[in-house]
Amino acid sequence: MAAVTLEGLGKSFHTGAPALRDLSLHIADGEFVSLVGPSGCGKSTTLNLIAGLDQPTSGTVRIGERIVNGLSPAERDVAMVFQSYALYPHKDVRGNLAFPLEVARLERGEIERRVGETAEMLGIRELLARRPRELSGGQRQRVALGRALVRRPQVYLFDEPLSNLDAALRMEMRAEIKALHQRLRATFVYVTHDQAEAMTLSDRIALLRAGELQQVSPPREIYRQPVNRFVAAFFGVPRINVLPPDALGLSGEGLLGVRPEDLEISTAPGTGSVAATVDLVELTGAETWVTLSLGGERVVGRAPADFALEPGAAAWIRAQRHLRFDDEGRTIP
Amino acid sequence: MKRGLALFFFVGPFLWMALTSLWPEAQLTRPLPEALTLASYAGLGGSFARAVANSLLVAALTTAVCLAAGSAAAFAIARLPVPGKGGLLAFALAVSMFPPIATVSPLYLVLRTLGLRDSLPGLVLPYTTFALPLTLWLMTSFFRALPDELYRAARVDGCTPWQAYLRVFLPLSAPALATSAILVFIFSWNELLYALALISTPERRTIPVAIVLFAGEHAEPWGQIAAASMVATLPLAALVLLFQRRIVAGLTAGAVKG
Repeated sequence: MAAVTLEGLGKSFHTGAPALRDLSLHIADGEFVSLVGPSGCGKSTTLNLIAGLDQPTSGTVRIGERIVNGLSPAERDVAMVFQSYALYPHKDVRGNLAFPLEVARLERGEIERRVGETAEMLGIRELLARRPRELSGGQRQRVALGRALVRRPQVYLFDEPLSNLDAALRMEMRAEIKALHQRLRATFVYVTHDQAEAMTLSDRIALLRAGELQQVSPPREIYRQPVNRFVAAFFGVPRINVLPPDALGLSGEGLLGVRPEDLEISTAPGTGSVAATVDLVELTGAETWVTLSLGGERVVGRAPADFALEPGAAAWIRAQRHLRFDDEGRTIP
Repeated sequence: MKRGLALFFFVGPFLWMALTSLWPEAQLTRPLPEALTLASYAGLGGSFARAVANSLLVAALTTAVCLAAGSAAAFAIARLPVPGKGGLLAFALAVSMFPPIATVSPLYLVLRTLGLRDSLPGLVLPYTTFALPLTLWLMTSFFRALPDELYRAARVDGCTPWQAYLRVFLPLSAPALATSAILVFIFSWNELLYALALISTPERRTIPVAIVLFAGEHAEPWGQIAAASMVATLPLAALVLLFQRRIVAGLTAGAVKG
């Protein structure tokens, strides 16, 4: 196991803006760090730079104590799980699991022992003789995980590994990856565009935007104390409400950010509440999402499942808690 | 009806050739022969067997060289950061567009200087230059159609680019290899111009040259020519029928997303 340290990492391709600008990030030994952001934000580029599939334009990548710039993936001792699984179609599951060990020229007996162990751990022992095309999506994902595990690398890299699975299976595999990390206590670097995945899995989340790191924090902190409006809007469903202070009857500069769960909706006026009209009521099962309009603004609030108001009804809202952003979108503490 | 007509259009000449090869030589102008005979085949003789062996050797060698060089080069073009690879592909295509007749005399001089004129390896060389671009294009489009993550996975699993080619991409490229092999083989098997111009020793003639030279000053041995053509065509037809599915799969690689 090893820590991963990125220092001033930059990557430019021939065309357009740099894919990554001056990224510095320390991932501790045994830590689970997610890289998140909208597509094109540089998260996959970062993963490729750590894996050695691509070379940085500037900066250094360190795995453990070693600077690995210029080393091939083989010399870096990292394993990667891909979105499309990238199993070798011409090899059966056993062949897929054994492949990295064969390339590393391990002894036959050792290879078989490790393949057996890994298959046991992931519950894919009975699939060993099958070809990838005979497997379901979840089984393929398990084999892809196994191919990474079997090597016992210094660092595990995940490139959107769950994006190709359906919702139910995604939840299941998510829990499994989390359990795996708790068991292995290895360094995991996990790329995803799904904020819920990052929230549930990570020790810390790094949010990137257009090649620039916005914030690195534990999930709770990045949700409660985002450094700017972009970070605030990236996490949380429904999205954070952003509106001028006077709309909520408050004073001061800039814009306010109110999480839907911090918006109190009541049927009668109270202290500090403002009048609004219910526009839309969406029952999601455990709770209700209520869209209201006040003045020219629209806000979304979270209410219990038994929320009784119909669209068109009058309501009173109050922000229990809010963030404040300045003109550049930075959070004012 | 339409289908029958189309079938006749394609198969008719072949049937005619087959019949001619079995028709007794003296009765070729009659509407019906007294009996069919294998005499024309028997009369082909040892020199034609020699030509078949030569053709086999030249076509097999050309195919082997084209596949080995072409698939490795195609892999590099499709997967590795080779500077100017687009230009390379266009250049290869341009080479194959040259009218062969325009290159016969310079090639003759080059091969004579190299001491390869009138030798079978001396045929493999120009055949390869003409067939390699085809292989290169076919294999490149095939390799490009394979998912990029497969290459990245192989690299992270510890492969060098060369190992990724040998252990992952080559085993997956059987359809494209089969297609390229057959097209290159057919091209070399049928080639007449260079073989006629570069080979002078009778023992080194290939099938097309041998067939052309059947015709003497005073006689056209139609039966033998037809028999020889049958011998030249049947193995190819069998090969293509055997592999037709793979050929189609190879030709359409990358046309639609798998």
